[in-house]
Parts: sequence; structure tokens; C-alpha cells
Amino acid sequence: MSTSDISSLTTRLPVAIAPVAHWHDGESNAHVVQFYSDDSFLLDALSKFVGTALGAGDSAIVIATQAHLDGLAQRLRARGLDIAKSARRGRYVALDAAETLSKFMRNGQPDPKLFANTVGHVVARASAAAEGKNPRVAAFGEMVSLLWADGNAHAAIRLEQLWNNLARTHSFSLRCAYPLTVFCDETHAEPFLRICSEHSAVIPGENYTALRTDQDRLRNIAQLQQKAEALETEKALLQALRHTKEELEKEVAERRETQRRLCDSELSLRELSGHLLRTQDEERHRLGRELHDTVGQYLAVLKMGLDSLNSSRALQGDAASRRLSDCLNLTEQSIKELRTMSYLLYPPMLEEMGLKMAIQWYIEGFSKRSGIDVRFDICPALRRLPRDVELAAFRVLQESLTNVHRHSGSATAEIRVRLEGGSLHLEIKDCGKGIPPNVLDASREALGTMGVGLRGMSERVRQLGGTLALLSEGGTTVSASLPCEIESSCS
Amino acid sequence: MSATILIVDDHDVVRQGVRSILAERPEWEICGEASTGEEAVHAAATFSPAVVILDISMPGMSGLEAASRIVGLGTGARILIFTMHESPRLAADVREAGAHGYVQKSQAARDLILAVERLLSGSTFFGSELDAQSEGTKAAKATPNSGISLYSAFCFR
Repeated sequence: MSTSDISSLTTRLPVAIAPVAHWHDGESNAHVVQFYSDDSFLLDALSKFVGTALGAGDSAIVIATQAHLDGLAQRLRARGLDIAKSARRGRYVALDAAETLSKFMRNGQPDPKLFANTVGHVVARASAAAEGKNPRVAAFGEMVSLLWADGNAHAAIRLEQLWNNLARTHSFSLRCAYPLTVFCDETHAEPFLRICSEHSAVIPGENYTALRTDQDRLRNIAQLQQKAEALETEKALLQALRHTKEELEKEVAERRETQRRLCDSELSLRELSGHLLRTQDEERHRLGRELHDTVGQYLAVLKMGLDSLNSSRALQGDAASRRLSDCLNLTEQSIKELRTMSYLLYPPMLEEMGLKMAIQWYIEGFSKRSGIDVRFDICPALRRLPRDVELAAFRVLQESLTNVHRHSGSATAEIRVRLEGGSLHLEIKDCGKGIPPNVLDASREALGTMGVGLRGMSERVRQLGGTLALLSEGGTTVSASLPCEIESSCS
Repeated sequence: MSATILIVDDHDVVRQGVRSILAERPEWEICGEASTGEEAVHAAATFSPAVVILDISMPGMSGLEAASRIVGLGTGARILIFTMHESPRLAADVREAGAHGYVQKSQAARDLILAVERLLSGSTFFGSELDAQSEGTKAAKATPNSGISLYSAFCFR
């Protein structure tokens, strides 16, 4: 197709693709909306609109921002118009948009009566001042644009409608203007269409109107259609992404919630185990005392009786005295056992004499009972520590040595007790067969299959904010650190 | 040597046991019994006994506190602590309370008569010579690493 073919096609187009809206060819009650990108373009178009009207002897009302009012005045003067004179005659009325708005806006909406009074009055006066054979009023307003920019789309549309109502009783040709940049959101599509529909004519932005030939304008339309198509695709993609994002956010929130619940239940489990440990301690304490104070008393008295029988001459004869002697031995044995039992349940010297003495006492008894040679190194400066710490340390030692005896097969054990950096450090080491790997692994993770004894130790230490570590290398080493407030150390 | 003795223990059966041991010495008179610290102080004020045999662990006022109150009465009673309680601090606690000796309940048949005699003669009794000997031997044997031999000192003797 040759160039001449295209131009002949263009001339045959059924619809004019050029905008109307020059002052002289406008109908009297037109309500035109002008979109623009650049302020100076708007001011040029506006000065042409107003300038033509003033030049023809008609009146002009401009309700605009101060910057636009100034820009317009400058351009009108440049066109050789004496706007001061026109203003004096009432043919040129320049009003500040924000200030005018404040006269009829109530609760974020334009009040119809106030608008009709305020703006109607201005139009009527300008109309009266118009000269010429067929006097007309040209009006420009961007109050709607201010409302829109404020995010009040509803008020902007309402104001457009009020202008349309005013046109029923007053004769004027109105031009509105919006910068295109304020319609940048997807949600603006619907109110944008409504604004367009409130006008009798729409003038697109200068990107379009600056194009001279119909062909250029058609190309521009095609280009815009392509852009719209691409944007649609992008929009769909964005929607999908947004959807995915929402799903992910939901999932994250769910996981957070699950984690929070897990934390909560772990916390309550910890509280529970703390409570159980305390209850156990109290119970042991009570049981130990009770055994010592009741059964122990009876056994002591029993022994008194047997002792006195034994020493009296009343019982003669080998058989009887041998039997008495057996009874006495058995009673003594019972007293010993009971005492050991009650002291192990709750060693009274732990409370009375502190950890250092209690450990020594325990180790000595343990060695006797188990035949295991225990060497110990307790820092000589070890003083009394908080009751909780002493009890936990003692129980860790007790449990560890019991494990050495029951499981390790070791003939020796070594104990080290140190007070360093505000913490009590306890180490129990044997040279036995070590801990099975699965138990050791479990102890590093969630204590899952860890033995009850180990778990109890670990929990006890953790309740006090301390740490417990197990090492299985040429035997087993249990290391516990318990923070305690006392700021002293062995050096 | 005739003398009056007050027996204080919250366990009836223990008081009976003490009575039967002391029955060996008919010249000693059991002037009263008490089962709490408060009762003990009251009875000591009423009977002015020559010797008070006093348990430590009792409900309410402990035997050690009762001991210092009885001393405070100024009746000149000699006080013998009679206890199940064993700790390395026992002797110190007994002395601090102003009492004049102690006997372990499990060694009553062996030590009680002897201890009361000692107190009546104006002396004290803090464990028998047998204990002192065995403790001394053990202390001498103890390795420097293990410190004093607490275990045998106050648990299994």
C-alpha cells in the first residue's frame, strides 16, 4: 500500500479523531475535560481558551491554584491582554481554587446549595459584565482536580455534577483539567470513566493532541492499545504473584502460629517438669525425714532394749544369747540401712553443711557400696551456694555416679567441682564403656530416647538456666554448669 | 548418788526405752516426762531436775532452744542432748546451746548411764572414748585429697 493510499484511507475515516474545544467553535454550554501531563501545556491551552474569550469581549472565570493563576496571567499579558482592566470591569475573575472550595465544602462533600450560591453568583456577575453582540462566559476550574488529588474521588464527581446542574440555570462554557499523573492506580479506572462521562467532551493529554496528522494519532491509538494489552498480561501476572504472595503469607502466619503454640507447650512442659522436680524433692525430703523420725526412733528404742537384754545376766545359755546377738545385729543393720536410705532421699548435711561436705559424704558412702574408687577435686574456696543450685549439683552427682555404677563397668571415677565465672562447674568422668551412640545423639537433640535419669538431670540443670553436656570418649564425661549469683571463683 | 532426772522426747516409746535403761540405777529418780520443748522448760522450772535428757527434733520448740531456756532458768540443771540427729556440727551446736553433752540414740544402751553419771559429777559427755578413738584413727588414715572422713564420722558409726 502506497503513502497516497494511506492518506486517502485516512480522509475516509468516519469519525473525527481531532479534539474540538477551541473557544470560537465551542457550543455555549459545553463541559469539557482536559487531561494533561505538563503544566506549561495546560497553561498554554488555558491562555488560548481564556485569551480568545477575553479578546472577543466575553467574560472569563478562572478558579485555579495560585501557581496556575500566576502562570496564566503571565501568558495572557504576553498575548497583549490588559487583564487588570478586564478584571476591573468584572470580565476577568481569578479565584483561588482551595479558598473557593472551602466556601461550599461541608464534611468532605460539596454542599449543593452553598455551591449554587457561591459559584452561581460569580457566574451571574461575570455574565452581566460580558460585552459584545453575543456575550458569553468562559469558565475554567480545577477544584475537582484538587479533590481528586486529596483522594476524595466521590466529592470530585459530585462537584462535576453540581457544575452540570448550574449549567441548567446559567449560561457558561466550562473547562476542567486534571493532570494524568493522579490517575496512576488500577482502582482509578472506574471513577476515571465516571469523570469522563460527566463531561460533554474529553480532550486527551498532550501526548495525543500534539500529534498533527490523523495517521500519527491512529498510530498512537494502536500503540496505546498494544500497551494496554501488555499491561493486561502484566496485570494478570501481578495478580497471580499477589495471590501466591498472599498464600505464602498465610502459610508463614500459620507456621508462626504453630511455632508459637509449640513454644507455649514447651514452656508449659518446662513449668510442669519444674513443678514435678520440686514436688519430687519435697516428697523425698518428707519421706527421708519421716523414715528417720519415726521408724528410726522405733529401731533405736528396739536396739536399746536388745542392748540391755544382752548385757543383763537374765539370759543365759548359748542358743538364746546367740539368737539375741543375731537380733541385735539385724537391728543395727536396719538402723544403718534406714539411715542411708533417708539420707540419700534427702541428705541433711546438704542443708546443714553445704555442697562440699555433702559431696564428700556421698562419695565416701558410694565408694563403700559400689567398690568404685572415686577421686575428687573440689575447689577449696567452694562456699555455700543457693539452695536450688546445691541440690541440683548434688542430684547430678548422685545420678551420674549411679550411672557409673550401673552402666559403665568402670572401676574408677573422677569428680571435679569448680566455681568459676559466677557458675558452678561439675564434672563426673569414668573410664567405662561409654554411652551408646543413639542415647548420646538423643541427648544432643530433643532428649527423645534419652534415659529417664539423664533427662531428669538435664531438666534440673535447665530449670536453673544451666547446661549439661555428655561426652563419650574413652569412658563417659558428664559436665554440668549451673549459674549462681555468688561472684567468687577458685583460683 | 541420788538424783532427779527429767526425760524429754516427743516419742512415748523412746521415753519408755530411756526409763528402762535408767532403771538399772534405782537411786536415780525420774521426776517427770515432757514431749515438747515448751513442756520441758515448764517441767524444768517446776521440778528443778539434776539432769534433763533432751531430744532435739520435736514439734514446735527444738530441743536445742529448750536447752538454752532451761540454762536460762538458773536451776543448775545439767542437760544431756539425746538424739537421732547426726552431723559434724552436732557437738558445736550442743555446746552453743549451753548443754553439757550428747548421746546418740542408737548408742543409748552403751552410753546413756555413763553420760548421766558424768554430768552428775559436773563433767561433760561428748561421745564415748570408743568413738573418739575410731575417729582419730580414721582421720589419721584419711588421704589429703579426701579431706576428713565425714562418711564414717557421722553416718555409719
